[in-house]
Order: sequence, then structure tokens, then C-alpha cells
Amino acid sequence: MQTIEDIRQGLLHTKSLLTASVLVGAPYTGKQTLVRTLYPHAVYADARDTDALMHALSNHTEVVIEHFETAKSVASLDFDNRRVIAIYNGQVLPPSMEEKFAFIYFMPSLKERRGELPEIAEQILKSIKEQLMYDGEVRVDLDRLDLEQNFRSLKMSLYKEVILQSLGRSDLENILHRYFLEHLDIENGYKEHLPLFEKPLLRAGLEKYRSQLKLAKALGINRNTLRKKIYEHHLD
Amino acid sequence: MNTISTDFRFIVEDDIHPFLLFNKNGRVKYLNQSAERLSGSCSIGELYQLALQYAPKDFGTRMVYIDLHYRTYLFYAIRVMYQNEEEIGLHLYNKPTLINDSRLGENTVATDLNMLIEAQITLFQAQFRGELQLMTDYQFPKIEINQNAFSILLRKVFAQFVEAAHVRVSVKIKVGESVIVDGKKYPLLVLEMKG
Repeated sequence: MQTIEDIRQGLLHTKSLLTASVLVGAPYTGKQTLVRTLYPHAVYADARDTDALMHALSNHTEVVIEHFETAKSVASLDFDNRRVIAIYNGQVLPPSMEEKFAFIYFMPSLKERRGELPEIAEQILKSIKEQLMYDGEVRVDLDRLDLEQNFRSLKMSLYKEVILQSLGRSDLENILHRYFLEHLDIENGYKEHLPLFEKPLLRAGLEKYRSQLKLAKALGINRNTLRKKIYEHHLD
Repeated sequence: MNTISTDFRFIVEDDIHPFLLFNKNGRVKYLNQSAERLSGSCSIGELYQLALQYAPKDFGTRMVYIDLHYRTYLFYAIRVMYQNEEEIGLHLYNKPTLINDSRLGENTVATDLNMLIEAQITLFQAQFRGELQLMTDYQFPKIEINQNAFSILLRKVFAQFVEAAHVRVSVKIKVGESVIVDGKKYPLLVLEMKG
């Protein structure tokens, strides 16, 4: 498997050559960021706009092609005597496209880059905290971050973490207030909405005390009542 | 008398000019790789008769300039040598070949071949777990080449060696052959990969 450093070194090597390279990988794996860092002055063309792509290839010697997976009439694209870097969203490059490229790089997904995850998460977290102007401490459990959609889902889970951990009691009350205003329109509203605060309370308590006896003491309720509520909320 | 004790056999073995050593009965005692390839285009007996015909009158060597043609092989000279009655050697000298093809000049730019190879090696080594050896001369002149087309070819060739334990890449100038593009003569480079 190619590492990010392999790909970076490979792309740096081809910076002085008139060859075509393609970076293949699932969406949101950081392909575009890497290429933009290495080729900040290149002409960028989107393959979804065939005319613009043809124009870029006819008039410039250094062209980055985005969304190459949508390119039409690939065989007719003239890459001779140009430095072309194409970005392909997908796992496998079709043979007809493979024929056009001297250098083919495969961007690993975030799941394949677990070793880099602490550093990546820290950098994104720092930028999110700056954006939200939050300077408190945020603890992140790396194993619980969502990597299904690579950087997209990672950013979303980190945003959620920062927001969740920065909320105070009054924020929680305001959130519940807003929610109840919108949803309190059925019979048995008390019974229906009670789990909203009872369930997280029990879940956190079980995680913290790891013993129903200790938790019952901490909550100041009878052990049998606690057992019944645990059963009702399917937490056993 | 030179008393150097280096073993020169590998030089003879890799020589691009065919060399054969016969015994007194005309049987081959040794032939280098070029001679082995030549033996597919002419008979060994024919070459032995050639050696006898142009052998020096006494012990020593004799160089004779003659045009010889065996299928695709062209020679401009031979050298026959013997220093005893038991064996006789024959060295055949390839005629320089000129290829005249102006199409080679299409879409080409002056290129440092080593840069193309090194870039391809960088990509290759991300998958290759064996040992790779590059033998080249960084003083090679730039060559006219279509960089992308040639690099695509290189990528495909390298891909064939990805499972190899050891790969040796060598680049050298081919002696005695050249190519003419638009009336101008250029040397030929040989890129060889062994795995």
C-alpha cells in the first residue's frame, strides 16, 4: 500500500517532468488538498466541463484535472508534453483511463491510516475550536470517530464532540426546552419524553459506577426501582 | 609483459561482438553470448572454415576487413588468433547500424532519462519489497523522448517485476549503433531490467 509520504515524494519527483499522473481514491481522502499544496500555481480544470478541460489542456502546460471519473472521450485527451495531475474519485481506475497515465497513485482511506489519525484529529480539532472560539479541553476517543466517509465524517464527528463537550447545564436545558416546544403535542407526553433525560442519566451512571448497587446509592433511589428502569430502557 | 591477474572472462562474455574458440577438430570450446545468438543465423562449421581461411600464417593474430552477412547480422571485420596447435579463436566485429526514422521526432522533448527512471522507481518502491539496483551514468546527454509515452511503458515494465526478490536496472550507451532523425545522427541508449 502506498503511504501519503510515498505519494507526496512521487508527485514531487514528477514536478519537473512533462508526464501525466493520477491520484485515485475514495472521496474525502485528502487528494485535492495534497495536490493543491504541491501544485498551487497550476491551472485547475473540472472534468465535468469538457469544454473548459479541453481549453485548459490546449493552452497550459501544467493542468490539474478534478473529478476525472466524469471525464468523457478520455482517449482523445492530449497529455503529450504537459504536466497533468488528475484526481479520480473511486477505488479502481478503468483500464481505458489507466492507459493515459505514467504515474498512478492510490490514496489510502482514513481507516488504512490509523497510525496518522491522532495527528490528523488533533489538527482538525484545533481548527474547529478556533472557528467556534472555544478554548476548553476536548477529550476525543479515537476509536469512536466516524471514518466511513473519511475526512467528511471525521470532521462531522469532531464538530459534534466539541459542541457536546462545550455545552453547560443551561445549554442542555435550552436544547430540551426547544425540543419539547416542537414535539410536545401528543398524549402521555410525560411518559413519552421522560427517557430523553432518564436514559442518558442511567447509561452514564452504569458506565461510571459499573455497579447497580453503587449507582442506586448515587442516584438516591431504590435498587429494585433502578433495576426496573434499566430493564425498561433496554440497558441491561 | 603485463602481469595483471584480473579475470577478464566476463568482458569477453558480455562483448557485443561474437567470439568463438574452436578445438583443432572444429568443435566449439567456448562461445560468448553474442556468438550464441549468431549461431542461430549461421552454422558453426561455416564460422570454423572462416577462421581457418583467414588464420595467420604463424602463431599470433590476424585482422581482416571483410563484409560478412548472416541473416540480420552484418560484420565489417574479423580477427583470427591462435598460439598453439590445439585451439583457434575467431572474433567478428559488428557493422555500425544506422536507423533512419524521422517519426521518432514526434512530440519529443530533450529529457534526462535518469529523472524518468528515478521517478518511476519512486512509484515502484511503494509496492516492491525486494532489492533494487540502478546502474546508470548521470553524465548521459539528454535524449529526445516523449516523456509521458515512455513513462507509461516504464510503468508497465516495472509492474512485471513487483514480485521479484531482486531487480537490476541498467542504462548504457549502445556502442556501434546510432539513429538518424531529420538527417542528424544520435547515439542509442540501452535500458535493461533483470529480475
